[in-house]
Amino acid sequence: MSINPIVFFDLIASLFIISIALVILAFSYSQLLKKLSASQKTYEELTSSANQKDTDLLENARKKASEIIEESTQKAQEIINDSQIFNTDTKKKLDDALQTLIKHQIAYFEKTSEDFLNEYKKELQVIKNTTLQIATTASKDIEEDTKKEVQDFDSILARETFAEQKVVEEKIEDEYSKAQKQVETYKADMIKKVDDGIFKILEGVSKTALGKTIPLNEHEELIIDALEKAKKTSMN
Amino acid sequence: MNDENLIRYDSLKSLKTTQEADSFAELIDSILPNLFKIKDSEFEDILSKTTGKSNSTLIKNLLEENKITQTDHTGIKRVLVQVRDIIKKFKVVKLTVAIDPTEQTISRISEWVYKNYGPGNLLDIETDESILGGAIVSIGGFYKDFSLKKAIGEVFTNNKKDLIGSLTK
Repeated sequence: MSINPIVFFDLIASLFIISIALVILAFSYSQLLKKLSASQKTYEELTSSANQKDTDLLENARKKASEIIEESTQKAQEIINDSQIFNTDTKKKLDDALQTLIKHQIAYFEKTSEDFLNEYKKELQVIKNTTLQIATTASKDIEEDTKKEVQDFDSILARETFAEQKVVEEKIEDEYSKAQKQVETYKADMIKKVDDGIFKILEGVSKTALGKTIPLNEHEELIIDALEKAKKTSMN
Repeated sequence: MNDENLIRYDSLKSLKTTQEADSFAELIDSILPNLFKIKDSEFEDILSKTTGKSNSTLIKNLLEENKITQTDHTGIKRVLVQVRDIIKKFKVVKLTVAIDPTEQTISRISEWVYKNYGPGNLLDIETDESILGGAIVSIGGFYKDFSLKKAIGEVFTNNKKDLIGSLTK
């Protein structure tokens, strides 16, 4: 098997380039490791220094705190002592002042109450007068309104009564007219019935009388007459 | 000889009413089936025994008119059949009258009908006292009330006002 010379040289060139790149990479890595080692050392030194400073600071703070507490306690004791002395005197003065104040206040309240009472009375009187006036006015208004309403009611009642009376009168008149007509009709009917009755009786009597009084030969004549008439009528 | 010419309507003039005609027709109907069963000499005897004088006389007259002897059963039959047929053709004059008509009245009326309408008419008379008098006549589709009742009614109706007026005065 034979390899193309061009491909072969290309492969050689590529391997060469890769080798150079690996050498550069290895050098860079070693440099980086050196820098990392140096940095680690610096970090440890800084950490140690910082710890020392922290310890000093804490110690100083503890000392200062103890001093402050001690000083404070002492001052507090002094204040307590002073306040006890102050309390006794002050209490007495305060009581006196309070008594005086109370007296003043009582007097003030009494005066104020009296003033207020007077004012209240005055206001009450004013309200009373106003109310009385309003009530009087209202009473008059109510009276006038009531009178007016009563008058209106009377007027309406009279008007309505008149109208109703008129309607009733009209109805009565109408009913009377109807009743009169009915009576007239009834009267006419009755007269007609009586007339008819009389007529029927008269007719009946006549017929009975005639029927009984006709002799046989007359009957025969009447029958022959009927036949004659029938003949004439049928011929016409 | 033509059968139609055997019997004249005139010959049956003695039949005045429908009742008489019906009775005579029934007689003929009873004679005809037995006519050939009887002996020649028995016809008159049987006739006088089975029917009244008037019908018997009428049959004898009819036979005599047609010169048929009582022994000629064939001739008798021919005459009777023809009579029965003619009776069926008679017209009826229906009358409603107020009285029960006597024989005399029926004869008078029948005579008038014969004179005015000719032979071949029978009277059918009905009695209704309420018509008072006169007659209600019905002849061949013509009908008219000529009763006294109707006449009086018309008089009263036409003069009603005057009558009531005179009564109420």
